[in-house]
This record gives sequence, structure tokens and C-alpha cells, in this order.
Amino acid sequence: MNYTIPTVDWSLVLPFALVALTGIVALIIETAHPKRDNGLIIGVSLTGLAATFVLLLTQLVLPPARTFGNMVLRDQFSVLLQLICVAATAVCFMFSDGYLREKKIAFGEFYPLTLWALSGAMVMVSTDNLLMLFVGLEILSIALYCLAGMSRSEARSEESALKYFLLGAFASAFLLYGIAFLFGASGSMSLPDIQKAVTGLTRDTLPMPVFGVMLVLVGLGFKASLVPFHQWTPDVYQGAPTNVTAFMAAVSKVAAFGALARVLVAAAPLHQYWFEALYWIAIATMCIGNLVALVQKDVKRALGYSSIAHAGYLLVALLAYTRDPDKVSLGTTVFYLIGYAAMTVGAFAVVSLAAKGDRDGSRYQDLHGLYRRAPFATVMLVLFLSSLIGIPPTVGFFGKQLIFLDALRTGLVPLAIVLAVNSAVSAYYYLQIMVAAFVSEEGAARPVSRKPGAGMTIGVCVCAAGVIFASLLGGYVQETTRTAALQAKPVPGRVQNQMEVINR
Amino acid sequence: MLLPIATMVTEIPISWYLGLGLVMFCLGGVGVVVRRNPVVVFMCIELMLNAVNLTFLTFAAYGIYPGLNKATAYQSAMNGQMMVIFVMAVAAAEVAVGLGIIMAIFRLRNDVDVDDMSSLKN
Amino acid sequence: MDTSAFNSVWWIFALPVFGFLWQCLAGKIVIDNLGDKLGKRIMGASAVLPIAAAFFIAVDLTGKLHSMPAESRSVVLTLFDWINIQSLHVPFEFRVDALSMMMVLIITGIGSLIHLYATGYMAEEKDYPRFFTYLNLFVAAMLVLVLGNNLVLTFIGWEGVGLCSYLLIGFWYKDVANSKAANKAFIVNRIGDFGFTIGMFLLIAQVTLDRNIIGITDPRWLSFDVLLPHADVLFKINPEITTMAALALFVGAMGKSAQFPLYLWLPDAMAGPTPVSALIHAATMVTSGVFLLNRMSPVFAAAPQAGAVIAIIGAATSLLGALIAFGQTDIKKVLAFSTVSQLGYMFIGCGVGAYWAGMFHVTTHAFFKALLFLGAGAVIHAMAHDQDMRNYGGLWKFLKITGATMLVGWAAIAGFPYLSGFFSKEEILGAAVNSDTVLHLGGYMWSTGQVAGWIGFVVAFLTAAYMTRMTLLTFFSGEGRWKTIAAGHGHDHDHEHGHHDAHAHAHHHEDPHGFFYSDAEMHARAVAEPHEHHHALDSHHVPKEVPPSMWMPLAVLAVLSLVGGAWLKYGVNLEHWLYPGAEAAEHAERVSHPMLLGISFTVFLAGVGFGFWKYAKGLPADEGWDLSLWKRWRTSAGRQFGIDAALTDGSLKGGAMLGAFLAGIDKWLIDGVVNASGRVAELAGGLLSRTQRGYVRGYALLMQAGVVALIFYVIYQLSHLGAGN
Repeated sequence: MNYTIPTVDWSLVLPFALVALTGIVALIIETAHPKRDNGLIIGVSLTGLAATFVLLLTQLVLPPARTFGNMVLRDQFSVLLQLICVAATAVCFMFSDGYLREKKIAFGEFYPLTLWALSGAMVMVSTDNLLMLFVGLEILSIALYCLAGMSRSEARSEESALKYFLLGAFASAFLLYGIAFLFGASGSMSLPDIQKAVTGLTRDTLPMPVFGVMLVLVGLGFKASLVPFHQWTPDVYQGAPTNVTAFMAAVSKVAAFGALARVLVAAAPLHQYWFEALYWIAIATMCIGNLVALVQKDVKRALGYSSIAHAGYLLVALLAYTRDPDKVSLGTTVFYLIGYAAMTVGAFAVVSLAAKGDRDGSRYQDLHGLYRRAPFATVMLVLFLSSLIGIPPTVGFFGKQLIFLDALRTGLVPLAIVLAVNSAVSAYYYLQIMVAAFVSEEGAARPVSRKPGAGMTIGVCVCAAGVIFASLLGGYVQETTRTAALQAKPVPGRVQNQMEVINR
Repeated sequence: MLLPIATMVTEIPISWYLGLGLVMFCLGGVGVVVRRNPVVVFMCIELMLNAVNLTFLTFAAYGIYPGLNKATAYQSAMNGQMMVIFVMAVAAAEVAVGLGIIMAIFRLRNDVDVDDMSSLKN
Repeated sequence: MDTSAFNSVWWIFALPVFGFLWQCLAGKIVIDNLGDKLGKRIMGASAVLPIAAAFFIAVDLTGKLHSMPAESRSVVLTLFDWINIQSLHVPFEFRVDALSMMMVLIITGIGSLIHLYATGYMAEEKDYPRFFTYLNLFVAAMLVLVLGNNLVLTFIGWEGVGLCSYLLIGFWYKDVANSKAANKAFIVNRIGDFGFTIGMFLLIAQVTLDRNIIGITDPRWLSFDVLLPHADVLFKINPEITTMAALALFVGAMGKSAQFPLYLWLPDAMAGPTPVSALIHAATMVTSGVFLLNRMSPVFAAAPQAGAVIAIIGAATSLLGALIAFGQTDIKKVLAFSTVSQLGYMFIGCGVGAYWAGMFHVTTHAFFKALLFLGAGAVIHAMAHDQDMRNYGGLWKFLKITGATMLVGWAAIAGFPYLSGFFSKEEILGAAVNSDTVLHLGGYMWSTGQVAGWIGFVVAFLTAAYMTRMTLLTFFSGEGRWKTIAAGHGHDHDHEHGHHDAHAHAHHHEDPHGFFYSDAEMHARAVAEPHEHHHALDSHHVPKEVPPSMWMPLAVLAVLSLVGGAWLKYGVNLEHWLYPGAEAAEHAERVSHPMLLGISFTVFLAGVGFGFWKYAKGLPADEGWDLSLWKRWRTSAGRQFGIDAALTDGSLKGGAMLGAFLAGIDKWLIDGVVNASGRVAELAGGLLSRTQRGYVRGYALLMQAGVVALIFYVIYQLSHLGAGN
């Protein structure tokens, strides 16, 4: 048998390879001079991210391509999501400096681990192969388990790491079991193949892929914090170091929804077997996230619940897309993810200011007096929270509006109503946080917040720019992803084989 | 269609393998909920992963999927077997990290009951 | 049709707008840099010029209109698309026809005269450009009102003039009383504006619902040239709604044109500078109600019941205004109530269907009432800003030009034969007594048109009498009474508003709630901002004739008051000019023309005779400073027969009660629901958060429960739906 080594288009794997490599370099620096070359580590990390960002920007205009036996896929959807991940990580790096010093976390551990987690997230969104998806998810998760427990002297941090670890591994088992069923039904790990295989099934062969899809949804739903797989979210968000929480909130949500979008598109032929379940999950996710957030007394925890609610909104966007891809675009999801990353990272960045020693100082009353000590950061916090509420002209408003309109266009009126009501409910706790920051008198054992450093200021400004100006990208994102997603149209009964299209 | 390498295995009906996998998976799931030592909990998760591995291998060997020609069938079988290797590798990595976390907790409080790890709540 | 010949109409509108921008942007800079005298001269000239230029453009356009055949004397010019909704299309469009150009000529012509007058009158004012900013803006808004070709544009102008009126009444805002007067004017006008909008919406609703039946295909259906020809169809389809719409629009007209009971604001509006009173509160803005009735006359003509109501309200207003005028001692107040009364006349005319007569009276009234107000301003100017007629007397010796022109004004308003007021009044009353306007009410037919006409003759008598009273008390009847003012007598008059009376008798009713200012606040502000006094009127005062910039407008207006009426009636043939097709509809004459003339003469002579009998010898003892000698009905007239107090109190107390009631509803019902939903949400959140117990095994259990639920759901779906894709 004569066997030729297939040609590999390295440019497709270059972005996440570069990120992983940067992480390795940062680790080498740390091992060479333990706990000394902090500035160099930050510099190397940010440089690597900047290079990756530029590289991805150049790839944004390229046509879709595959390599490594079709295991790596690059289209506009994946490039955009990777750009969001890289940018969010860069902002986390910018504001982490002071926080890590305050908490006495080793720079040489945080930066490489975060970079590897990022590379995992990037792998996750740039594949439509379940094997790769699983590997990417595990790279992301395992690094995040470590990161959550990074503040080793804090019991809360360790507790959150253990919870995240056990539940994450548990969810992985479901994901894998689902993959196994899909594999059994199609003989392939590739989503387009699976989509093709599940299109013309008979009554006897149908159950296996349906169960498979369900179990995969459980695994990804855990990552995306959908009810009832959401319970880890507030605990881990609260316990983990704040910069890790910011990273987790933005990057792992982007990765989870990117993967979820691809799985749902592939599972579109089985639409009728999962749609209604996700419909109710979306409602439950929005409502439970917001309702429980109402009674929270800790900013990080409240934002954790808020992230659950936002996952619900994002699921509405995905459901609208899978219901009628001709009328609405996958761009809504991407656009909302851009906005969500900007506002949530920004909010956590400002909250991280309130950390002092072992205490994270993230209770509402810990924010008292913040306005007097860090007026700029507080104003920015107001901006981010306004965007999370969805007050125009922030990106949060336009994102929600797009989702709302998508839901209406595809006939998901109840979802649109629940979304609108939930937006109103959510205003209550976001406003509580704002008010806390503006209370002038300080309690005992204060002030706890640091003065924002230069990195913090830049990072917050980047997020603010995102919150204010990302709206301008709305049309572009919609258009770009429309062309990118064309090949993955989830039209039941009229499925194209992506691989054949591209290989031809 | 059956693959030649699997002829011996396939003397036994596929449902036995899948059934065993399902039972293992459920046992693991129950174990996660009832056990309080995180190491044991993680062992239960390992059990679930092994159930998944068994399922993968079963599908790889039996190849019940319709409409594949012989060459593709081989490729599919390899897909499943490769997945098992990856799962095992990932499980190993998880063990490393998990034990690290458990150690860190043990150092903080000399005790690793998962039910004591409940300060973050509501 | 080629409308390019009329494009200059945009300049008529643009010039005052430019003037407004120039005044507000450059005014302060110019005066600061060029010095007070030169700067004010430049700003004054640049305030007058745009209005005057607009007047000449309007004259030119009217000439062009005149040269066209009578039936096509209506040109619509569109500037841009303004509102464009599927079935509704509202462009920004002006309409040039006889009616609008007549109003434009009044606004710009008399407006420029009054601007000229104001350059002299306001010469000592610090906020000189601010005054002309408002005044130019007012002219611009008023032009939109009269030129707009649809109800929406008219409404914009309507609100714009209301705003300017508010700003100008409160021009001397440091005096709380002026601010109160401005608030009162604004609030009372809001009631009218509410009526206007209701009327507009009723028409819109009606047209939208029945467009196909009515047969309007043009999407510009709010435009007058599209809507009005269908007014009678509208009425046939839905008579009640059309009548209600007409009455609602009339409520709007009542607010702007100070008809009973919404006249309350006009007397208080005299708090503004006198040129403002002349321009806004006599010549132009207050007549916009009459203009609206003329503009929408097809609608009112289609709804005869509305006309009957209008006639009787007009008659009531004119009678009331004339009676109250007797009780006033402030010269501007007399003129204010006279304006109310004359506006009543105009509404009688419109009510009985003689719309053109209403417009005729608008025009002549603009001449002589502007003249009288400006003359009064000149007198006030000469008398150190004292407005109390009881301090005047014998001014003829000092103010020859002012006196002569005001005498012309007196003659014109009193109905001196063959002066302008005589003609227009006679046309209205003649039309009224000959009309068959009847109101169907309670099963009876009330000939409100004829009743209104006869009331009008009574009012003509009263008008002649109170105007004689004013003229005699001011210019003749004895020596100057100000010479008898003892030092410290306490004639502490505010410089421009008459009702802040420091005498023992506060005959103006102070409303307890003060329209936004409590008494304590008023006191505080009065202490904080002492009145800026010119030198006070004292016994050594010598009145001086006003400068040319002030008496020249008087002279022009006097000429107009003398011959304007005859010219409009015989020279222009106003009825034919305004309503070319309407001559066929003649009524049988109940009261013949010579008889009318006879009645008019008699009434005029009787009124003047009464005035001379009572006031020729000087200030009668029963109108002096001593309260105890006042005749009862005069006291009562002085307080507007308590109507102002009753309405103000009633509305304020009623409003307070309603407010308290609604606040109660808000607090218990609405807040209750809102708070309850908040509580429920929080309760639910609290309960749900209990499920988050912090045990990792619990979380895993919930996940498993979720998986099990999903699996059951899938099994159900599979067994239910089967494999049918």
C-alpha cells in the first residue's frame, strides 16, 4: 500500500500553536528566574497575543479551509470567535498585574496556564470534529481547574477548583458518552458526516443519534452554564481569583457557544427531538439566572448568575438560528458574544480593584466608597453594568435587540417576551451594584481597593471601547458570519456534505 | 458489516457490550453522587469514562453504521480506537490536576470530605 | 401648476428665523463690543429689517396672487418630506392663498411697526437682544401657523407662538408676579392645545377609518387642500364625530383666542412689555383662533351645531369682557379686556358663518388695537411706568401726537361711523342678526346666532362707553392727578404690570397656590430680587412726548385705523377676496341694511354720551382711591365677577384633589402591584437560591436529574413522533 503524507496547511493551526508556544516560553522564563521576571512574562504573553490577534485578522478575509484530515476548520465564524477569545484574554492580562501581586499568585503560573486554556478554547471553536472538540475542551478545562485554585492560601479558591474539577469531569463523561453514540450512529467524529448520517434514519436507527445529541448537549450545556447544569457557575465565579473569573466568563462562554452552535447545526435534521427541550432550558436559564441574582450580596456571585442569564439569551439566539437559518444569522450570537466578553471582562476588571490580601472584597458593601477612590473605574463599571442591563447605546442593548428581533422573526414569541421581562428584572441587581459603588461612606476595615494601575486603565478602556463601539460592527459581523455559516445551514432534510464541498 | 479483526469479538451480541457500558456508566454516576471522598468520586468518574471507552471500542469493532465502504469502515474503526487513547490521556491529565487540587485542599484543612467544601452557596 | 413664482414664500419664513438666530447668537457679542448705544441700535435695526423685508415679499406675493384667476388662488409649496409613514405623508409645505397672505401681511406689517416701536420702548432694557430674539422667533412661529398647509404644521406654529408668548410674558422673569402670569398663560393655553390635538386626532382617526368611503387617495391627507374638500362627506358619514372634532378644534381656538372660560390668561399676560401686548396679545397670536376657524371653515360649515355653540360663546365672551373693562383702573387691563371682548365679536362672526367678517374684524382690530396698545405704552413710558389711570388726566397738553393717534384708535374701536371698526363690526352683527344659526338642545331650537347679534349691539354700546372712559380719564377730564400724589402716599407701582397693587385695596385676586410658587417662595424671591425701578412717579413729574421711533408706528396705525376698514370693504372687496365662491348663499334679510346703520349710530352715540356724562368732569368720586365709595358692581367687575378666582381656585383645588386621589391609586394599586411583583421575584430568587446548597454532590445530582429528564423527553418524542423527518 503506497501511502503519501497528506499536505498540511499550517496557517490554520498557527494561531493556537502560537498561543500555546507563548505559554511555553512564559513558563521557561519562570523556571529560569523563578518569581523575578514578571514584567518579561507579561510582555511575552501580551506580545504573543498581539501577534495572534494580527494573524487572525489577516485570516478573517480568507475563504474557509480545512487541514489535518479535516480535523481543523477555519471559517469566518471560527476566526471571529478566536479573535474575541484572544482580545478578552489580553484584557485579562492587562489588569491582572496588580491583582496577582495583591493575592501573591505566581505570575509564572497564571500566564502560561491562561494561555494554554486560551489555546484550548481556540481549538474548540476551530473544528467541527468531535474528537478535536473534546480535546480542546479538556485543554481549556484542565487549565481552568488549575487557575480556579490558583490562590492556594484561600479556601474559597480551592473549594471552587474542586467543585469545578469534579463537576467538569463529570460533565465530560456525559459529553464523551454522547460522542460515542454519535460515533456509533455515523461511524465518524466529524459533524458534517454525522449530519449527513442522521438525515435519513429509520425508526430503528434513530434513537442512538438522538441520545447522542442529547448527551453532547449536556456536556456543552455544562460549559455554557445552562440550567440545570449551571450550579457550578456562581460558586466557581465567586471562589476563583477575579481575573480568572473574568477569563472564564468570557473565553469559556465563547468557546462553549461556538461548539454548541456547530453541534446544533449538525443536529438540525433531528430538530424535532431536541428543539423543545432546549426551548424550555432557555426559559429556565434566563429566569433562574436573573431571579437568583436578585438576592445575591456578592458582586462576583451576582455576575455569575448574570452569566447564566446571558447564556440563556445566547441560547435564544442559537435556537432562532437553528429554527430558520434563512431568516436570521448566526452573526447575532457572535455579536452578542463580542459584547458579552467586553462588558463582563470590564466589570470583573473593576471589581478586581476591591481585592485586598486574602479577601476578594467582592461583597456589595465592599464596593462602598469606590467612586471616591477610583472615580474613573467606577464610571466605567456603570458603563459595563448598563450594557449588561441593555441600556442604549451600549452593545448590550443592540445585542439583546438583535436576539429579540431574531426570536420574533422566527416565531419564538414566548422566548422574546421572557427575554424582555428578564432584561427588566436584571436591571434591579445591576443597579444595586452600581448604587453600592456610589455609596460614599466607608465601612470598617476600609479602604480595600487599590488604585488602578496603568494596565488596569488601558484594559478597562479597551472594554469600554468595545462596549461603546462594538455596535458599529453589528452589520459586518452579521454579513461575515452569514457567508461563513452558509455551508453549515441546518436545513432539515436538505443537508449538504461540507467535506465534499470543500474537498472538491 | 463486520470487520475481519473483530470476528472473534463479535461472537457475542453487541448489546452485551453496550449494556455493560451503560451499567458501568450508571454505576459511576451513582458513585459520584453518593461518595464523599473526592478521590473516590473521581474514581467513579473514571469508571464512567471507561464505560465510554468500552462503548467506543464496541462501535469500532462492530461498525453498525450503514452505508460505509470497506476503506471508510477501517478509517471509522480507527477513529473510535483513537478516541479511546485520547480519552485515556485526558483522564490521566485530569487525575494529575485533580490530585493536585485535593492535595492543596488537604494542606489547607487536613480533611478532604466533599461535603465540607460547601462554603460557597446560595 | 408652476409654483416657482411663489418660492419667495420661504424667505418670508426664513428671514425671521435668521433674525432670531442672529439675535440670539450675536446679540450679546455685538452689544458688548460696540457699546450699549451703537450695539442696541444695530441689533434693533437688524430685528426690524427681516420682518419688514418679509412684509414686502408678502406684498409682492399678494400682488401675484391677485393677478391670478379667482378660483386658482391657492398655491401649495413643498420644501421637504417630513413625516412619511406607509399611508400617511406629511410634507413640510406652505400654502399661499388669500387667507394665509392676509394673516402674513398683518403679522409682518404690524409686526415690523411694533418691532420699530420696541426699539425705542425697550431702549433702557439690559436684555435687549433677548427681547428681539423672542420677538423674531414669535414672528417665525406665527408664520408657520398661518402658512402651514396641514394641521400638523399649524400645530407646530401653534405651540411655537404659545412658547414665545410664555417667554415674553415672563420677560422680566425676576419679578415673581410676571413668572406667575407667564405660567398661567402657558397652563391655560395647554387646555386649549389639548382640545386642538383632540380635534386633530379625531379628524385623523375618522379619515384613517373611512378613507375608502370618503374617497381620499392622496397620501397627503392631512394637508388642507386634500382634506378640506371632503369635509361635508366626512360629516355625512359621521356627523357626531365631525361635530366633536370641530368643537375640539374650537376649544383650541378658545385657548389661544381667550374665549370664555379660557380668557383668564390674557389679562395677566399684560405683565409682558407693552409691545408684546400689542403684537401678540392684541394683533396676531390671539387672533390665531379666528384664523383656525377660517382655515378649517369647511369642517365648521359642515357641522352647523358647532357654529351655533361658537356664536353664543363668542357673544358671552364679548359681553363679559366689556363689562369687566369698566372695573379696571390699569390702562393696559382695560385694553386687555377690550381685546377679549373684540375677540368675542370675531367668534360671533365665525359662528354664524360669516367667516370673512371674522377675518375682517381681525384685520381692523389689529390696526386699532395695536394702535391703542402702543399709545398706551407711550403714555406709560411718559408717565414713568405708572399704569394706573387714576394717576393720569389732562395728558393731552403734554402728549399731543400720542393723544391724537389714540383718539383715532378710540373712534375706530368705539364704532365711529365709517372708521375701520365700524365696518367690520357692522358686518359681523349684520350677519348675526340675519343668520339662521340654531342650536338643537334639549328638544328646542335656540337661535343662538340672532341672540349673539343682539348681544353684540349691547356690547357695542358698552365698548363705546368704556373706551370713552379710558380716553377721558387719560387725556382729558381735569388737571393731571399725579400732581396730587403726596410723598410717601405709597404709589408703589411696578414698572410694567399693573396688578401688583400696593394700595389698600388689592383688587386683583392673588391665587393661593401661586401657579408653582408658594407665598413663601414669592416673598423670598421678592426680597432677593428687588424691583428694578425707573424713577418713580411723583408730583413733580412732567410727561414728555415719546421719540419718533415710537410715535411713527402710531401714526401709520392711525391712518390704517381711519381708512383701513373702508379700503378693505370697498377697495379690496374682502368677502370676495377671501371666499370667492361664497356670494351665492345670501340669507333673507331680517334686519335691513339701513336699519343696521341706524342701530349702529345710535349705539355709538349712546355709549359715547354715557361716557361723557360720567367721566367728562374728571375722576368720579366713586372710582377714586377710597374703596368705600365704590359701587358694588364696579368692584365686582374689577374682580372679573369672581370668575377668575372661582375658576383658578376650582381648578387648583380640584386638581389637588384629583392629584391626591390619583396619588392614592398610584400608591396603593400600581405601586402595590409593582412592589408585589418585585417581592415575588425576590421571594422566588430566594427560594431558588436555597437549592444551591453548596454541596458538589447535590450539583451532580441535579445534573443527573436533568439528564434523566432529557432522556425521558427524548423517549417520549421518539415514541410520539417516530422517525418521520
